[in-house]
Formats: sequence, C-alpha cells, structure tokens
Amino acid sequence: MSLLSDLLKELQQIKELSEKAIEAAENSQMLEELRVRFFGKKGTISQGILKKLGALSPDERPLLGEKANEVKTLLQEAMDRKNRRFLEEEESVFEESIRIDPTLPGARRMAGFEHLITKTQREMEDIFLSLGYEIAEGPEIENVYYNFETLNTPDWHPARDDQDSFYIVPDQWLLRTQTSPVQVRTMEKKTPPIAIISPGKVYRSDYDATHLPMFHQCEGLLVDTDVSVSHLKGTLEYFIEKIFGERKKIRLRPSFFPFTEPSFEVDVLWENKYGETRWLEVLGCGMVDPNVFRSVGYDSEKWTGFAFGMGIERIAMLKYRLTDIRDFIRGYAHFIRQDL
Amino acid sequence: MRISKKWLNDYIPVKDLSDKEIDDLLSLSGTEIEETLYPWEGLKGAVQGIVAETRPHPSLARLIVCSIQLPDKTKQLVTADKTVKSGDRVLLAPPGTVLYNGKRIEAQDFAGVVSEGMLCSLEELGLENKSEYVYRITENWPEGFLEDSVFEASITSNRPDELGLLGIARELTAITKGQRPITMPETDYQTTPEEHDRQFRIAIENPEDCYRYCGLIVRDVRPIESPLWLKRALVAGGLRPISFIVDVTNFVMLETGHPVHAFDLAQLKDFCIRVRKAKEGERFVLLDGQTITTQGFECMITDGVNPLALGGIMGGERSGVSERTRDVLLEVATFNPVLIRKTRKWHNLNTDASYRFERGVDPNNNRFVIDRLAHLIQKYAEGRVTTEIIDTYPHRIENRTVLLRRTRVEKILGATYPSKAIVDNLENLGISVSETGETGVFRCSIPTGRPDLEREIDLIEEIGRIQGYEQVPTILPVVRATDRGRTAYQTFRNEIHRLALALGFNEIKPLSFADPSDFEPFGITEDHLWRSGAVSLVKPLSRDLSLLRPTLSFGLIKTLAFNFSRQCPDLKVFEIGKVFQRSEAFKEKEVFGFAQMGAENPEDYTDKRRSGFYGFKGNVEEIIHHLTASSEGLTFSSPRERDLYGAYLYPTHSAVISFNSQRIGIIGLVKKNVLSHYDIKSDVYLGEIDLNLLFSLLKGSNREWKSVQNLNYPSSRKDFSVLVPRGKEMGHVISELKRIEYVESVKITDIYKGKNIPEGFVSVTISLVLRSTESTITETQMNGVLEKVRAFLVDEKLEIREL
Repeated sequence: MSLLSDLLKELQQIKELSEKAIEAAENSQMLEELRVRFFGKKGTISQGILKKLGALSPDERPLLGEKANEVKTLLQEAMDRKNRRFLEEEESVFEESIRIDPTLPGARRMAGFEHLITKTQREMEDIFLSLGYEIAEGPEIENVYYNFETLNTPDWHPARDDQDSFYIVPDQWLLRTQTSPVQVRTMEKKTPPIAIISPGKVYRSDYDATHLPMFHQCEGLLVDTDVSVSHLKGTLEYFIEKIFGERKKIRLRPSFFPFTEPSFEVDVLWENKYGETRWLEVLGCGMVDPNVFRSVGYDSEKWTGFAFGMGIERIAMLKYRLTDIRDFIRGYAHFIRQDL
Repeated sequence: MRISKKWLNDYIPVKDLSDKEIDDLLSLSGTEIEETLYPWEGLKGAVQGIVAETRPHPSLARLIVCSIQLPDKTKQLVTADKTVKSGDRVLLAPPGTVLYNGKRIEAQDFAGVVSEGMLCSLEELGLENKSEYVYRITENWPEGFLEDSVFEASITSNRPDELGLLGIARELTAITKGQRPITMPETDYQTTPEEHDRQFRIAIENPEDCYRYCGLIVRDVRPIESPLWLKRALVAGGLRPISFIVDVTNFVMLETGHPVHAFDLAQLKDFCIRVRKAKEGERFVLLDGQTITTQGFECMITDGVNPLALGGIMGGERSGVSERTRDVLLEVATFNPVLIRKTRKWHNLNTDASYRFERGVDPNNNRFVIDRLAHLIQKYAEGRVTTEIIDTYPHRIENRTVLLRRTRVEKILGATYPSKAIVDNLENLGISVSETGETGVFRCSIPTGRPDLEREIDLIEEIGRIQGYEQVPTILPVVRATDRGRTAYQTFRNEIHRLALALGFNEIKPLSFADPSDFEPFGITEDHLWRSGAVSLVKPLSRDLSLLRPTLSFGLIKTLAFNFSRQCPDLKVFEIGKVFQRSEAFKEKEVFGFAQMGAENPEDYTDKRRSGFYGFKGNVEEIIHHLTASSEGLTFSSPRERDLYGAYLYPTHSAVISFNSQRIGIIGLVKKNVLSHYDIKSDVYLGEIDLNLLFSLLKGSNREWKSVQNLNYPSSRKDFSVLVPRGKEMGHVISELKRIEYVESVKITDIYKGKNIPEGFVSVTISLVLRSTESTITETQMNGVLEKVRAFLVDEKLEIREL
C-alpha cells in the first residue's frame, strides 16, 4: 500500500471518528473542545494528515490536500449544525426562564388627568381660536359698573334679580356673575373689529345638583361693520358641531338679556340613548345692545356685533352625560381618573 | 305666570290648538313654557249623580250610607256628611280617582258597608281651602268643567304686558299673524250717582311715584261666595280663592296684568284718598299682619289721616275688605317701577302686585281695568256704582314714536324682510305704523303697554321673533380682528398645566370659597395676612363658604382628606386658580398649588416608595427646567422662622422656592396635627407657586439653547463621597463645584445613612462630569480639577470618604 492510500484511509477514519464524536457532543463547550481537537495546530487533521503531506510526491499532495479539505468542510458543517442546535436549545431554555404573564397589570407610572372642565374649556378655546378669535381674561372680583351698568343693567333693572350675586362690598364690588365684564373691558381698550372669547369662573348664589355657586362660563363677542343674526347662527352651528363632534340641529328661541337685542336661547336637538330627540337649551346669545356700544364709545350705527355665553359645566354634562354638577368640585380621584 | 288654556280661550280661540302647538307658538316667539300642568287630571273619572236615598250606617253612628243614581247604575257610598239627602246632585269620585291634593280614592269598607268611592267636597276639588260639606251641584256644572291645561310660562323681565292673560292673548294674535282675533271681556255696568259720593277726592302729592290713581265707589255689595268659575280660574292661575271681593280683584289682575285693590270704604277716616311719600319711621301693619317701618322713600296711600296701603306693594290690615264689608273703594293705580323695586327690595316684600308694578304697568289702561272690576262685581254681587271714575293722572305717559328703517332691520337680522311683513307684524302687536315719505322708513307709534319697546332695535327684535328665525340664513363670518390667539401668559399657564399632568398630578377645581374655621387647624393666627386680609362675602350661602380663599392649601388638603376617607390614600393633585386678598384694593393672583399623599407611584407595584421631600422637590425642578431649558435661576432655601407657612409645614422639612432670587413659592411636609384634624393618616407634601410672579420673572430670561457642537469631545466621570453633618446645606457646595473649570455637571447619585456612617452624618455621593470643548480631558487636567475639589471640600470642612 502506498503512503497516499494509507493517509486517505486514515483520513476516512478520522472523519468517521470525528463524526461520531460530534454526534456525541452534549453541549457547545464539548463541541468547542472537539473543534480544537480536530482543527487546532495540534489537532488530528494537522498532526495526523497535513504534517505528512511533505512525504508525498508533488502530484499526490493536491489530491490528499483536496480530500483533507473536503473532510474539514464536512466536519465543520456538522459542527456548525450541531452548534446551531445547541444555541437554539440554550435560547429556548433562556426564553422559558424569562416567561412573563402578559395579562398581569402593568406597573404604571401615572400621568395626571386634566379636569373635565379644563378639557371642555380648552376644546372651546381651540374651536374659536381656529376661527381667529383671541382669549381675553379679567378679574373675578368685579365692580358693579362692569358687571351690570355697562351691560345695560342699571340698578333698578329687574334683570339684576335674575342673577343672585355674591357681593363683597354692597352695591359696589361683587364676584362677577358673568364673564361679560371682560368683553366690556376689552372693548374699552380696543377698536373694532374685535373677536374674543372670555372663558372663566363666575359666581352666583345657588347650590344644588344642577347649580354650583362657582362655575365656568365661556362667552364670545364679535364686533365688525356688518355682523348680523345670520352670522351668529353660522358661528353657533359651527361651534356646536365641533364641540359635540357631529352636526346638530339648532334653533334660536327669542329671549331677553339686558345686554343684547335681540336675544336668544339656543336649543340643540339632542338625542338620548334610546334615539328619542328633544330640544335642550345650551346657551344664550344675541346682538350686542346699542346701549352697550354707547357705554364703551362705539358708534352703533357703524358697528354691529353678536355676543354669546354658555356654562362650561352645562356643555360638559351634556357631552359626557353627567347628572350631578357637584362631581366637578369634589376632586374625587375615582371621578377625575374614571377608574371606577 | 300660569296660563289656563280654558280661561285664555275666553279672549282668543285656542281650543283647536293642541297643548304642544301652543307651547311651540309661545316658546319660539320668546314666551318660554317651562311646563304644562294638568291640575285636575286625576279627577277626570268623577261623575255627577243624584242621591236616591240615604240611611244610617248599621253600626257607625257618625256615618250615613247613600245610594247614588248614576245615568246607568246605582252606587253605594258612605259619607260623614249627614246633611246629604235624597235628591241632592253630587259629584262622585269612583275608585281610581286622584283628588286635587294627590290622594287616590279606593273602595273602602266601613264596618261591613263598602263605599264605592267618595262624594267630593270643593276642598277635594281644590276649589276651597276647607270644606265641611259634600259639594251639592247647584250651579251650572258643564261637562269637563275641571278639564284644563295650565302652561307655566317664564315671562322675561322686559315683558310686563304678558303678566296678564289678555297680554298673552295679544301676543298669540301677533304670533299667528292676526289670524286669531281677540275678544275683549265685558266692562259695562250701571252707574247710579249719589251726591254724597261725588264729594270723594283723590289727590296725588308725589306724581313721580304714583303716575295715576283711579278710584270707584261701589256700595251695597252682597256678601256672596265666589261663583265656581271664578274659583276655578283662580286656582288654575295659581291663587287660592279667599272671598268674593278679593277673588275678583285677583281675577282682574291675572286677566289684565294690572294689580288692583279694594278698600273697605267704611274704614276711611276722611272721605278721600291722599297719595304721598312716606315719612321716615312710620309704622304700618300690612294685610298679612307684619309691621314695617318706612324709610321715607316709599309711596303711601292714605285717607288723609291714616295710611291705608303701601302703594304698589300691599294693602294695610285695617283698611282691607272683610265679611262685613258692603261698600268698597276700588283702586286702579300705576306706580313708578323703580320705586316699587326699591321698596320691595328694602322691605323684602315680594307680592303679585310688586312683581308687576316693578316691571311696568300701563297707566293708560287704568279705566278699562276699573270698568272691568265694576262690571264683575255688579254682575255677581249687585252693588251700586255711585260715582263716575275718580281719575287723577298727573304723570301722563304718552305713546312713543320710533322711526324704523327697513335697511337696519335687514342689517341686524341678516335676512330680507318685505315692507308689508314689517308693517303687518308691528300692527298685529298693536303698534300703529305710518309712512314717513322716505322709502323703507316707518313711523311707529308704540302703545304704552309695551314699555320694552323704546328704540328702533327693540322693534327689529319684534319683527325678528314674530317672523321667526328659521328663515334667517346661516353664514360663518370671516373674522377680521387682528388680535388673535392666546397671550404669552395663557400659553405659559397651559405649559404648567401640561407639565403637572405629565408629572402625574391630577387636576382639581374646588370652589374658590374658604371656611374661616380652616384657619385654626392650619395654625393661621389672627394677625396673619391670610386671615386679617381675607375677603369675605356679604351674604354667603353658608359659613363654610363665607370667604374667598387666601391660599390653595385648604382646597388641596380637603380634597386629599375627601379621597383618604374614601379609600384613595395615594394621590397627587394640583390646581391652577386664583387666591384673593384685601388690602387697599382687592388683589387676586393666580397660583399653582400641588400636593401629594401616600405612595410615590401607587399604580406601580414594583415600586414601594412613599412620597418624600426630594421627589416632591424634583417636580418643581423638572417644571422649571422645562420652562427655561436650563437649570439656572431656580434655588431652594430653608425657611426662616417668621415665614408665613411655618404654621402648617414642618420648617425642618420644607423649602422656600426662589427664582432669580425672588421668592415664588414654598414646598414642604404638612404637619401631623393639621392632617389629623382632617383625618388624613398619611404623609402629605404640599406646595404653592405664584404663577403671575414666576411668569414675570421668566419673561426675558435666557431661552437660548446650547448646541451639541460643544459636546464633541468625550466626557469623563468622577464619583466621590463626602460625609455631611446634619444641618449642612449642600446646595452651595454643588453650585461651587459647578464653577470649577472643566466641570460640566454635578449630580447627587446617592445619599446613605447607616452602617459605617457616624451618627449625625450622611454620606453623599457626588458625581462630576468633566469635559473640555477643545480636546479629550487629559490626566493633568483631571488631576487639576480633583485638586481644586479637594481643596474646596477641605474649606467646607467636609470629610472625603473616597476620591
């Protein structure tokens, strides 16, 4: 037998033994040891075969080299396969070790809830800001002049009884009963055209399931050269659609406020959960009374305007179908966060 | 104002209209119908019957048993009224009937005798205050006599004309475009003048208070029971029947809207009426028995000697009619509305009369009203009218003339109105309209019964509401105003709001009122500005709502207490709202108040920490950091002894917050005794920041952002610990370390107390980040920094544990 055939035979033996050894390896560590044993500098292939390459004739060498490489590749592949399997097994053990229960509640860091009135007020503001209005604010302690007199409600006017006021100094200072004084203060400072809304707290002496002694109003005012009832209707229809998220039928019902003429209550056709509809009063409005314009020095022949006002609580209660207005002031966490 | 449909039908045909149609007609033109009542709904089943026979009850002596003959059958009834006899016509309420007072009739067994219902008395029909006998039908009792719909109308304060049914009828005529004409009630009567009564004089000394006074003498009025129709009408109108004269005056008031009065002529000392201003301090007993002391501005009706009535409000006790009254003086007067309002408010006397007079009653209607009154009295109770109307009218009110331009109507209402529609609408309201010669301009003469129509705009409103607003087109106007959007402050406040939410605080909005009894538990003494400068209400709803809050703390603590008592022991809340103070003027400022109770992260079961000072303080730092994009300007310091809040926060566990060296607020741990007063068994941290002040300080503060270009070279980190004795404030140490060259940031990474740390000390681990903008930090530079750090810490007498 030639050396070559011996070596080839030996190679075949190495291959078979190695394959068995690979097959028997129990983990990736053992496999790594085998890799060193086969392919290392002192490994079986180097020591047993390649070292003896020099003893072959030059034309035999490539043959053995080629064969040795074939075996090497085969073993390499076998080891890789085996190794992949080990990795997969290890990964699956790890995966199992980290199993969680996705149905258990999360460990929550709570973000705060904004108050429903702030939320509703902000929505109102955004609707009117998108139309080009500005937001005006004013003091909550008002004098009688701004709260009543400039609003065409002199002392003798029976309409003053319609709003039971909290006075601080009798007949002089009171908690504003409406945010309309802000409109007057704005008109005193600016010349038309004017477009403002004035959201804020107002106070009236009334306290039960549907009235709070402190509540929030959002009033609006538009003054320009040709403002008419038709613009008022258009603005309110737009607002109602935006705030309730759907187009709703509205109607203007004539009413009386001292500072507007004509004056209206606005009813919205409201649908309950059974699909029954009825008209619900949502806000008051009207064309600014010429006397109000006179009190701020505007020429009522030149300028006309509309004003409207609504209770933010009222809108929020309709929107979120609430029945007890006192929920808004209690600050009960279960209500604020609605985790009930 | 109650509108009885049946009664209204006397003046305008409305029977063919459904209740809903009437409601819509009125509501959509400005007369809001709040509710429709059916006062006798339950009595619908009551039937007329004739008593066929009566017999004593077999065992109960106080009762009798009657057989009642109905058209188709006979029924057996038991009654306590032994005057019932055969042949009487009675009203039988069978089982299931609901009486006027709401009581339901059932068949009832009286010791073995079953009563199949009840024989009604007038009391049970609501037509009499107290009845002793079963009602015998003697008068005309038409079919459906008690059937009625009563509309509860809310009449706005500008429409006194609608405070009488005739006014409502006039309104309906106008709304229905004149299709339904008005029938005026009868006013005729016989006059038999008597020489003596011609001497009766009426004088008005104060025509500015009493515009007109009409009187009429009626003698020998028969003392009769009010006829049933009258009682029914009053009850439907919301009043109780009292006696014929009183009933008839009430009836005419509800009919015409004009309050009227009847005096017992025999009670007049001098044979005259003298109207004058009250003197200061006159004591006067009113009809309802209460005594008032006049202030001097009131209007008194006198007989020249004694006061008879408080003009426009209420008659006097002495001069009122009684059962013995035979001769009456009828009064139909008109008073100054402002005076009536003032009198009513001062003496707190709300009457049907004052309600109408203070809204304005038409003086030019007085003669009609007095005629109507005389007609009714004579028709039902005979009586001789012995004078012509004695009419004193010193303060004449004339029709007003207003020019109306069609162009203006269309400009305000935003729709087209033909001239004919304008004229028709106004004329249906009783306004006479004439041409002016100028096209589209009308001269309108407004009857004095409509004091609300003074100006062109008032007429425009009338046209709009009669014509209806359905037809007005809908246009969304283009806003031309140049000031738009939010102010810088509003944006700033929204930002605070947003950050508070992000940091986990829930928003609350308690009432802005404060309870004076909260001062005590908070340790706020009398001399404290919050207490001495508290703004109080003149007429609060209750004591606990009698002040305007000087701080948000009360509301925050009480909200936490409310939640704690309802099993919500872990909560973060905040409020942005105004606090109030009285000094020379009233001051209000906006404050951000925030508080935390219990667990740091209650919904995180992996985090067991309780809330603590540093976590709470971190909220403030984070908010300011977001607002300024910087850590500059914000400082905290220990409170000094006399700081305001020391009373309810632990001074050793709280801090004054300053921005640019100005005090903007406080934070701290609430004292146990405060919490226990509100039954909170947990820890509460609380803080308040003056937003107006903070905003003014932030204005103009540097918001330039630093570029990352400066962070090109890697930084190095150096951690070390120092032993800090209790009471030593580290804020100064940290800011000094920051000033050392190459020190980019100084952070606290750990505070440790316990093993290996001597008593009275804590170990604070400080982490320095060093960076140069020119190169990577060199060994030499690093050592240079550490040298300076060591030297500084030695100066500060801080022992270094590791460096």
